[in-house]
Amino acid sequence: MSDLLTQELNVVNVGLPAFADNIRAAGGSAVQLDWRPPGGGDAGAGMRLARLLAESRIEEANAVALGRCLEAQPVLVDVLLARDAIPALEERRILHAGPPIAWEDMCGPVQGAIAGAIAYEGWAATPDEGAALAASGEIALEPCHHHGAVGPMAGIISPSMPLWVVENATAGNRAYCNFNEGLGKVLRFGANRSEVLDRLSWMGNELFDVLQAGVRALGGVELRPIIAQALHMGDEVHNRNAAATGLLFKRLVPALLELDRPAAPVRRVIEFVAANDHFFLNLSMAACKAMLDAAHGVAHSTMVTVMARNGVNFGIRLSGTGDAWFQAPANPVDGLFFPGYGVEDAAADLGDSAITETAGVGGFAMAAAPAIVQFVGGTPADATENSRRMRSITLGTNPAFTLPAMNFGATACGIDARLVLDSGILPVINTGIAHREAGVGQIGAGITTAPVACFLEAIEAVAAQAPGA
Amino acid sequence: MATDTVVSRGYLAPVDGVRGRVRATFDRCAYVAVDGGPALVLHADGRDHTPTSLCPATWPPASSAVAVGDAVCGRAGHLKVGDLVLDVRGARVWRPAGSPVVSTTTVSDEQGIGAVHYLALRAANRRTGGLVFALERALAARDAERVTDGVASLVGRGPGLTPSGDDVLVGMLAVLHRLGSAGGGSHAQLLRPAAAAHLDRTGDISAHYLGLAVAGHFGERLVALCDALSGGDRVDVTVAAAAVVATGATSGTDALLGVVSGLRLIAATRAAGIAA
Amino acid sequence: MTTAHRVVANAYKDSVALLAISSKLLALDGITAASVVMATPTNVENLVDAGLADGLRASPSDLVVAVAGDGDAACEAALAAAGELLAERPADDREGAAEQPPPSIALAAMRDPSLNLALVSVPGDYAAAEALKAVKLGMSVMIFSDNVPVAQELEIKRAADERDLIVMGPDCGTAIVNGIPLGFANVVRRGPIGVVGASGTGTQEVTARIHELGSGVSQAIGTGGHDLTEAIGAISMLRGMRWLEDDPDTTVVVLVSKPPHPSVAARVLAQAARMATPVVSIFLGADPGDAPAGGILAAGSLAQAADMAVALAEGRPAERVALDMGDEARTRLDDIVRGTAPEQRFVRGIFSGGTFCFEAQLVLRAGGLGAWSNTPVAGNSTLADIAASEEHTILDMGDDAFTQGRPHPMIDPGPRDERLALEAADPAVAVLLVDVVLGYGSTLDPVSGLVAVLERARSAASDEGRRLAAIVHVCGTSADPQDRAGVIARLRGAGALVAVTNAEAASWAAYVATELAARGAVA
Repeated sequence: MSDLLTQELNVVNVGLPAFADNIRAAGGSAVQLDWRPPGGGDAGAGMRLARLLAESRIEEANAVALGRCLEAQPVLVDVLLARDAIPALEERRILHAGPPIAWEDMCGPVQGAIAGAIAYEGWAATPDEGAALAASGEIALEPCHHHGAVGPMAGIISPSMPLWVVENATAGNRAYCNFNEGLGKVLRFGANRSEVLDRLSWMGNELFDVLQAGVRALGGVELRPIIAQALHMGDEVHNRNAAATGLLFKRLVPALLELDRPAAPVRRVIEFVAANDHFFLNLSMAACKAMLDAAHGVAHSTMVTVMARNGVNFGIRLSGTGDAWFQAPANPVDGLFFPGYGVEDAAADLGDSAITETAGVGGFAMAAAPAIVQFVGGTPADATENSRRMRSITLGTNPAFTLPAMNFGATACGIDARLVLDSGILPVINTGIAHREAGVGQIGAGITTAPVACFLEAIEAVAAQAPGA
Repeated sequence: MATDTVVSRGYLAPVDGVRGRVRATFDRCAYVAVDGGPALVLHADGRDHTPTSLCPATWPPASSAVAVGDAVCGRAGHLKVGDLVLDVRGARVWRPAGSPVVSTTTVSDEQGIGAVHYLALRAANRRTGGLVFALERALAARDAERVTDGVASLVGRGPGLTPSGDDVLVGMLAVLHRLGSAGGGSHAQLLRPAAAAHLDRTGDISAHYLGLAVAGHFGERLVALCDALSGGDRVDVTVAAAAVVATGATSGTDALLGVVSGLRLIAATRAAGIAA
Repeated sequence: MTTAHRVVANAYKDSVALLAISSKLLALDGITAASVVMATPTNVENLVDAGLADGLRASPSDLVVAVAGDGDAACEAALAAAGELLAERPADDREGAAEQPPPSIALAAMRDPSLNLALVSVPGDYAAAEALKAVKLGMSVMIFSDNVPVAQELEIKRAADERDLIVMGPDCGTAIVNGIPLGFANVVRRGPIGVVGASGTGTQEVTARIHELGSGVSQAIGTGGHDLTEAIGAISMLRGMRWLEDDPDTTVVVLVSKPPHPSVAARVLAQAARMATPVVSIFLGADPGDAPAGGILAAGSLAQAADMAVALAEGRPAERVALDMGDEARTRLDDIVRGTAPEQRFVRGIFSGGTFCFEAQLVLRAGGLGAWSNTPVAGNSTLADIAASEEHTILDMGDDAFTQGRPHPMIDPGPRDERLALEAADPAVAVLLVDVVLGYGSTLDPVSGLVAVLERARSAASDEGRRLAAIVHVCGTSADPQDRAGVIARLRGAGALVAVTNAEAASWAAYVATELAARGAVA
C-alpha cells in the first residue's frame, strides 16, 4: 500500500512558483523553495552530491563526529615552549597559518613574519638574512594545523616561542596556540624589526616563565565556561574578545600574585595582559582546535574540522578525508577600512582564526556581538540573521554556547560540507583585514565567507571514496 | 512550528521514515505509537533512558504543541510531533555498556536488596497476588506448561499504566538476560516465549516495554542495577536499587520483585552446579 | 547594430521570470534582440549563434543579459533596465516573512518533516539530482522537467522503487494526487477511477471526460513520457498500477500512453492480468483488436477509454462503441462543405497538446488521410520547414522546435493564434483544427486571441467566397478556473464548431476533408 495515497499531500515545489500557487489555490499545501543550482551550477557535481545526501553511513558518521566535538572539554593545562610541546619543532622548522604554501607564493605579511621568526631563533643575524634563508629552502615551513596547533594572522610558531597548551579532558587530545603580542607593530602582521624581536624575546622568557607558573598553579582552567559567559557579554571570541580577556584576567591575576616571583616581572606580565583586549583570542582558538581535532578522523564524515587561510588560499579539511586540504583562493572581505586605506591595500584573508567559526563561535555567534555588522552597514537584526542562517549548514547546535539575542538559542555547530553545497549558504567569518605589505598591520575589518570551491573539491573527494564511485 | 533539539536518545529510537501518532501524554512523558515499530517515549533528559527514548532540550513543551492523536513523522533527521519539530541529529545516544554480562561471581543472595526493601517488596507481592513465587517455582522446575500459566496469570495483572505483573516480568527478564548464562539461560528461554505469547493480555504501552524486554532490551536504571549486581559492590547495588525503586509509583518496586526472584533462580541453579 | 551584455554572478531566476524580463527588454526603444538566460553551455551556444556573446565570460550559475540594438545608448539603457528588473523581489518576500523560503529540499524537510512529495520543474540538467535527494529523504517525486538523461531517470526510478516510492516523470506534465492537481491538471471530482498516464494532455483528456460523464477520479498518476521505453521498463507505471490495485477507493484503472516497447508491454499486460481491478488501456497507435484477451480492455481513443472506464465503474459492460457523428454535426459540416470554394481542400491542425496532435493524426489516417507534421506518427511525413505547412498538416506547437525561448502554448497561446491566422489566410485550406486546454497551469484567458483570429478569418473568407470549418476541441471540466461554458459560447459565437473530445474533433475534420476530396475527384 502506498504511503503517499493515504497521507495528506504536502508538496515541496522546486522550480516554477506557479505550480505551488495552483496547489494552494486548489486547497492543497505547498512550500516554495528559493532554489538555485547547487554546487555552483555544475550539474555533474550536483548529481554526485545528491548521492551523498541522506546516506545513512554518512549521517551516522556525522553524528559521531559532532558528538565528539560537543563532548569535548578544552582545559588550559600548561604553557610550554614550542619545541617542548611539538616534537617536530626540535628541528629547524617554522609553522604558519593556513594550508600548505611554498615560500615564493606566500603573501607579504607571512614572509615578513617568518623572516622575523628566523632572526628571533638566531638562525640568521637579521630578518633580511632570515628571508634569504627561508627562500633557500633550508627551513621547513609547514601549517600549524599539521601539528595540532593554530595561530592568528600570519600564525607563526617557531621553537622558542611560548604556547598555550589546551587539553581536551574528554578525549585527551591537545591543541596549541601562540601568545597574542598585542596591537601595533607585531609579528603576526609581518613586522620584524627590533621592537618586534625584542618583544618576542621578552615573551619567550619572562612572560613564559610567569604564565607557565601561574597556569600550573591554577591546575587547569576550563575554557568552555569562559567562552559561554563571554558570549553573553558582547564577545564572539574571534573579533571581539574583551569580555573573555577580562574573565581570564580575573582568574590569572590572583594566581600570578601568589607566585614565588619578584614583583616587577609579575607586574609587567599583568600589564601586558591588561593592555590587550584580544589576549584571549589565542586561547579561544586553541580551545576550538581541541574540540574540532576530537571530531576529526571519523570515516565517512563530511563535517568540516578546519577552516584556515594563508593569505593566498583558503583551505578546509573534513573529518572523514584525513589529511587532505581542499583549497581555493580566498573570497574578498566585505568591510570598512580604517582612514587612509582601501581595498587595493588589503591582503587576502589570513589566519587560522577561522577555527572559531568552524567550532560555532566567531561569525557564527555574531548575534552576540552585533557591533561587527556595522562594518558592513548592517543592523543587529542582520547579525542575528547571520547566526540563525548558519544553522542551515550545520549538523546541529552546541548547547554550551547560547546567544541571548536568539532567546538563548544555541550556536550552530558542525559545518556539513554537503549542506553548504546543497543550500548555497556559505560559512560566514568575522575577520580583520591586514595590509598586503609586511609590517603595516590591520587596516580594516568586516565579514567574509568561505569559498564554495573548497567544498566542491571536498565533496568530490568524498564521492570518490564511495563504493562503486 | 517550533523547533527544538534532542539532547539524548535511546539506542533503539528510530527517526527517518517513522510514521505514527501521539498515543498518550502524561506530566513527565509522552508516548508515540509508531507504525510497524516500538513506541517512542518523549521525556526530559536524565538518567532514566529507555531503549526508545527521545529527550528534547525543552520538556515538557509548550502546552498545546503536543496532543493525543497528533500525527508524527520523521525525515532528514528531524521528527515532527504535532506542532513540534525535533532535530535528532546531534543527540547523544544512550546504550547499555557492552553486551549482557555473564556473572562469574556467585550471585548468592539478593545482596541485601531483599532486606533493604522488604516492606516494599511485600506490598509488591500482594499486588501480584502471590503469583510471582508460583512462577518462580515453575521456572525452577523448568515446567514449560506451568510457566506459561504463571506468565498468563501475571500479564496485565494489577494497577498502573504498566500493570504490576508486567513490571515483575520485566525485572525478571532483565536479570536472567544480563546475569544468567549467555542468552539468558534455560529460565529465560522458557520465560521469553511465554511472555511474547501473552502480550495481548495487557495495554499497548505496557506491551511495548514487555515486548522490548522479551527481545532483550531494558531501561537505563534496570541495566545499571544488573551491572552493579554483576560488579558485586554493595554500595553500587544499593544506589542502583534505590534508583529502580524510585521509578514510577509502583513500577520500580514491582520490577525489583522480579529482579529478586530472578536472582534467586540464578543462585539456586549455581548452587546446584548446573549452568544457569 | 551594436551588442552588449552583462553578467550577474551567482544569481538565479526561473525560466518563466527570465522570459518575462526578455520580453520587457525587447519592447524598449531601439532594441532588436534581447536574451536573459542562465549561462549554461547550451544557452551560451545559442547566444554565440545569435551573435550576442562577444567576449562573454560566465559560469553556469551566472545570469547573462545580452542585447542587440541601434547604438550604445539603447543597449546601455536596456542593460540598466534589466538590472532593475532582476533586483525586484516578489511582493510578499519581505513583509512579515517570519522565515525566508528554504533554499533546498533537505532544509525544507528539516523544517517540516511531513513533506511527502517534491514537484520538480528546474532545468533538466539539475532535475534528476533534486529528485534523487527527495527520494532519499523518503518523498515521492513528480518531475515536470524534460531533457533528463535516460541513465539518470533509471537511477532515480530504481532508488524510488527500493523505497516503495514513485517518480512521476521526467517529462510529466499532469497528475492528480489525493484530489490535488499537480502541474497542468483539471479540476476533477473524486471518484472510483484511477488513471496511470505517460502523457500529460492524454491524462487531461481522460480525466476531464470522466468528470463530464458524471463519474470521478481517485488518483491520476503520471509516469513521464519515457517510462514505457525499453531502457526504463515501466517502473513507474507498474508501481502506479500496484498502488491503485491496493487502493480501496479505486475500482477501475485506466492506462494512457503511446504503445510501449514490446517487452515492456508484455510486463504491463502481465501485471494487469494479475490484478483483480479491471484495467482499460489506451495505447495510442496500437490497434485495439491486437490486444490479447484477458488482462486489459483496449480502447481506440482517449475519450473512448474514459467512456469504457465509466461504464465499468457504474457496473455496466465496457463496450468499444464507434464514434457516431450525429445528425446535427453532420448537417453543419455538410453545410460548410457546400459553402467552400473549389480550391479549398486541406486540413491544418494547430495543437498545443502533443498527444492531441498525435491522436488527431491517427484519426485522420484511419480515415485514409495522410498528413505532414513536425511530430509525425508512423506513415506520416516530416515537414521540411515547420514554418510552411503543406497539404494536410498537423502541428504540435508545444514541441521544442516551437518553444525555444518562448513559453508553452498552453501558457501563452499567442504564437498558436498567429500561426492559425496564417493558415486561415491560405486559400487552399478548408479545415482549421485547434485544441484549447483548460485547467490549472493553462492561461486564464485561453480564447480571446483565438476568437479574434477566427472572426477575422471567417469574415475574410466570406469576402473572398470561401468557407472555413473551424473545429475546436475544448478539453476541460465545468469546475476548471477558466469558465468552460463561457469559453465554448465565445468560440461558437465566432463560428467555430466545438467538439467535446479530441477524437470527435479530428473525425469532423476527416469528414470534411474526405467530402472535399470526393467532390474534387468527381469534378
